[in-house]
Amino acid sequence: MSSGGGSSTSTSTMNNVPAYAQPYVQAYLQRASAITFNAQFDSYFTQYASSTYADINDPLYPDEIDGINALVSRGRNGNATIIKGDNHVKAMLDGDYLLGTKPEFQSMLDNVTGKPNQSFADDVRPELGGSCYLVGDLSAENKAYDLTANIPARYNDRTLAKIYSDNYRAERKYQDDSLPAGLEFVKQVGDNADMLRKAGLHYRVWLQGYDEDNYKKWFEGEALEVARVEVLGNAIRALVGTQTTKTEPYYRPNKMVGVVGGAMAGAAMGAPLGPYGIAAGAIIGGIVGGLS
Amino acid sequence: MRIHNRVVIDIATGVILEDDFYDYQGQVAECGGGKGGGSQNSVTQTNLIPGYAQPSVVAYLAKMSELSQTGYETYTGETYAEQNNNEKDGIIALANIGRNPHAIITQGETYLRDTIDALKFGSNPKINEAYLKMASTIITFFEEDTLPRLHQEFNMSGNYGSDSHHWAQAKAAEELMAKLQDIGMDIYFKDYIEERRSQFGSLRAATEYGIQDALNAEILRTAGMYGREYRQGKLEDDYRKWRDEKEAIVRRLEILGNAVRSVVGSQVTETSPFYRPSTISQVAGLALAGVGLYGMMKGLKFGNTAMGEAGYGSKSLIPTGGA
Repeated sequence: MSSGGGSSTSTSTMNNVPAYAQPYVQAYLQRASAITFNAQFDSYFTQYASSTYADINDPLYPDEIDGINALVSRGRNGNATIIKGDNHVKAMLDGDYLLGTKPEFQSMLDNVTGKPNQSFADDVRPELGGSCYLVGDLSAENKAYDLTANIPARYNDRTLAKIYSDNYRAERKYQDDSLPAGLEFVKQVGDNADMLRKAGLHYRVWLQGYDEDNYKKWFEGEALEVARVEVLGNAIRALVGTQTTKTEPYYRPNKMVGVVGGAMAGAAMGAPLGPYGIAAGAIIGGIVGGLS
Repeated sequence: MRIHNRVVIDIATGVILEDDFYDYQGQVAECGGGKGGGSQNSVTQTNLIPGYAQPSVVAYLAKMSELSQTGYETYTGETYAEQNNNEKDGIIALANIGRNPHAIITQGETYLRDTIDALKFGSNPKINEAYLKMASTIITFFEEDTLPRLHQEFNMSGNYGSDSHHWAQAKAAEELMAKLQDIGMDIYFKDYIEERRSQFGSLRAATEYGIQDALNAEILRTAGMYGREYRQGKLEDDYRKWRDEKEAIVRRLEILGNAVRSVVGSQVTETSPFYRPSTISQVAGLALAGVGLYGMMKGLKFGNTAMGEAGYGSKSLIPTGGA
C-alpha cells in the first residue's frame, strides 16, 4: 500500500465502490450467501415433482392414442370395402367375368331357362291334344304333346347362347372401364403406407417431446445445485473489480547506469581540482552511483 | 476541486498535450482525501457520477434495497384460460365422429360391400312375380284364344285330331315357348345386367367410402390432440407458476444486485505509493547542484579548466562558443 524509499516494490489499491454504497453491497453479498448455504432455503431449490408433459397414454384421455391405433390398423390392414373393390377390379382384369362362370350369373341362367321351362311344362303342354281325345280320338295318342317334348331344351340353348354372347360383350366393356378405377385402388395402397407412417410419426413426435421433457427435468435436477451456488456467484461477479491491488517493481536504474552517472557527476565535482581531481571524483562517484 | 484523470505533457516543450479532468463539487472529505503534500501515498479519486446525482443514487439504492425485501409477490390470478363449453363440446363431438362414423357411411359401406360381393344379384323380390304375370298373360291367351281357335279351325275342316291338328298345336306351343324364353330373358337377364352395372358402378364410391374410416381415425386423433394440447399448456402453466414462486427469492435478491451493479465502478479511488528518489541520489543531486553553483561563482567551465592546455581534451563537453 505504501512504499518506502528503499522498497523494491510498490503496491497500489483501487476501490470502485463509493463509500455510501458499501453497506448495500455487503447486504447483497450476505443475502446471496445465505440463499446459497442456509438450509432454510433448501425448499427453493428442489426439483419439480409434478408432471410437465401430457401423457398420450393416459387412460382418462384415450382419444388420441385410439386415433393413432386406428390409423395404424387402417394403414396395415386397409379397408374392407376398398379391398373388395380392389379384388373385384383384379378379377375383371383377369377376365373372370367374361365367360359367365360366376355363381350369380349361373343363377340368373337357371331362372332365364328354368322359369319358362316350368311354365311350359306345367301350363302349356298339358293343354295340348287332350281335347282331341274327348271328341273321339280313341287311340288316346297325343302327338302334339310328344312333339313339344324337346322344345324347351332347344329354346334354352338358343337363349343361353345369346346371353353368353351378350354377357361377354358387356363384360369386355366393363373390363375396359375398370382400368381408371384400378388406378384409384392402386393409390390406396400408397395411401395406406403413408397413413401407417404418419401414425408412427404422430407417436414419435409425442415421444420426442416426452424424451426432451425428461432430459430437461434431468438437466434441471443436475443444474439445481449449481444454480443455487451461482446465486452467490452472481453476487461475487457483481463485485469483481470493485477493488484492485497492484504490486509492481519500484523503478530503479540498473547498476551500470548508476556507476556511469555517478562517475560523470564525480568527475564534474573533481574538475576544479585538476585532472587528478577529475579521476578521483569519477572513481568515487562511480562507486557511490553503483551503491545507490 | 479539479480532479485530473490523465495528463500528457511534452517533456521537451512543457506543453500540455492532453488533459482529462473534471471539477469535483462534493465534500473534500468524501472525495477520498486527494493528494496530500506530505503524505507518503498518493490517493487519486475518480468519480463517474456527478456530485449533484449522488443523492439520487443513494435514494435508488435505498429504494431497491427495500423492494428487494418485498417485491415480486406471488401472482394469485389465472394465467391459463379454461376451455369453454363450446371448445369442449366441439372436441367431444369430433371424438364422437371419430369413434362412431355417420350412419350414412356405415350404411353406404355395408351396401357397397354387399354389392361388390354380388349379394344384390337375384335379390329382387318382385322379379318372379313379374315373370309369372307376364307368362300367365300369354299362357292364358294361348289357352283361351290360340288353342280354341285352332280346335275350331280344324274341327270345321274335319281334321280335328289329325296329325296336322297336332302339328299345329305343337307349333303354337313352340311359339309360346319362344315368348316365354324372351320374357325370362327380358326379366332375369336384364336384372342381372342392371345389377352388374350397379356392381361395377359401386367401385367408384368404394374408395370414397373406404377412406372414411381413415378420416375418422384422424378426426379422433386430432380431437385427442386438441385435448392434450390444452392439458400440456396447463401443465406448463403450473410448472411456470411453481418455478416463478421458487425463483422469486433470487429475483428479489437481484433487485438489490442490479442496484449494486449500477454503482460499481461509478467511483474509482486509487491509492499508490508516493515516488521518492533514494537518499544517495538526493545527496548526489544536491552535491552536483552545489558544485555547479560553485563553478559559476568561480568562473569554472567543463572542458575549459583553470589548468588551461593541460585539461583533458581540446573541447569542452558543452560548447561555450569561445573555444
